[in-house]
Amino acid sequence: MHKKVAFIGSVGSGKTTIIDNLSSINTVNTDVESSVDIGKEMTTVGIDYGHIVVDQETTLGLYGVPGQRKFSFIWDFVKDGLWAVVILVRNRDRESIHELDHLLDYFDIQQHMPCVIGITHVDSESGESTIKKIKSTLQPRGLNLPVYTIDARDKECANLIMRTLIAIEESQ
Amino acid sequence: MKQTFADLFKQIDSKLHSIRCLSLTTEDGFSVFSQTAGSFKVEDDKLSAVTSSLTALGSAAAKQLIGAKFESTCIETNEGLMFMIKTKYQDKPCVLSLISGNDPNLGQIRFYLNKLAAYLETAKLSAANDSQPQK
Repeated sequence: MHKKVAFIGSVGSGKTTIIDNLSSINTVNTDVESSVDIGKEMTTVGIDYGHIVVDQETTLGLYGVPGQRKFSFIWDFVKDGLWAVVILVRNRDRESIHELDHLLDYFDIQQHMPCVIGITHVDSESGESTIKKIKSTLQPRGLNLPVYTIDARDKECANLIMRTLIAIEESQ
Repeated sequence: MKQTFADLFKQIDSKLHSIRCLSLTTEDGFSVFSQTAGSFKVEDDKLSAVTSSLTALGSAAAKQLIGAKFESTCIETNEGLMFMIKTKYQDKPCVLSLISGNDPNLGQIRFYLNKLAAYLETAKLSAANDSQPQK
């Protein structure tokens, strides 16, 4: 069975990096040079695609979408038939936390579906205040999702996210 | 007087006839110039985002499946076609796109859009008439 996992989140939250880290194949990458200052040189404008073989029966397709809302037509391609969603939020980034609210609505995140939130860019500053803000976004929606501080470049962090998604499904 | 994007639209329309839209977008999806004909309407932001995404996906397919460098991509419909080609404008990577009328000639479109893409790499256009419909 092929299962779809979407990686969503604001610009520069680490979606391309984590997919690169997890995928067992060379990822399909649609990064281009950014013409405006977004805090990094490259930005995704299409779909990132990676692939994981879990066992003989299960493969996971990893779909990363652009962070900018103007590319939401790409979100619509990915949205249908999702097994799980990983939402990345930049630490102490007001816009990124604000975007979480929009993404929860757009992707219709419900408590019963495997979904994990990862806070990235926590190298120099604690993620505690971001965790609090995320929890206060989730609470009114009746959502209690796992929230981790992660380094998108670290394979162990990336694997932790995937193991959590599988554990959530197995527990249901 | 400097040339405008509207001038380029007129020139290419005189060769291809009944084109509906000509647009220049940065590779990451920001509109630089856009010109539409008559009553044809398209949202600049949407057009820029779509051309940017399709070109990036075309590039990924060209590189990973054919092992070649992307040049252009085309969407054919029952009411004309949309042709997208990579170019540069003021040293920034861009996408030039054209939406044709009902009876397109793909060979001609490819030829004239290639010429225009090459021209834009060294051109400096006036900002006047950006994103304005042609009467």
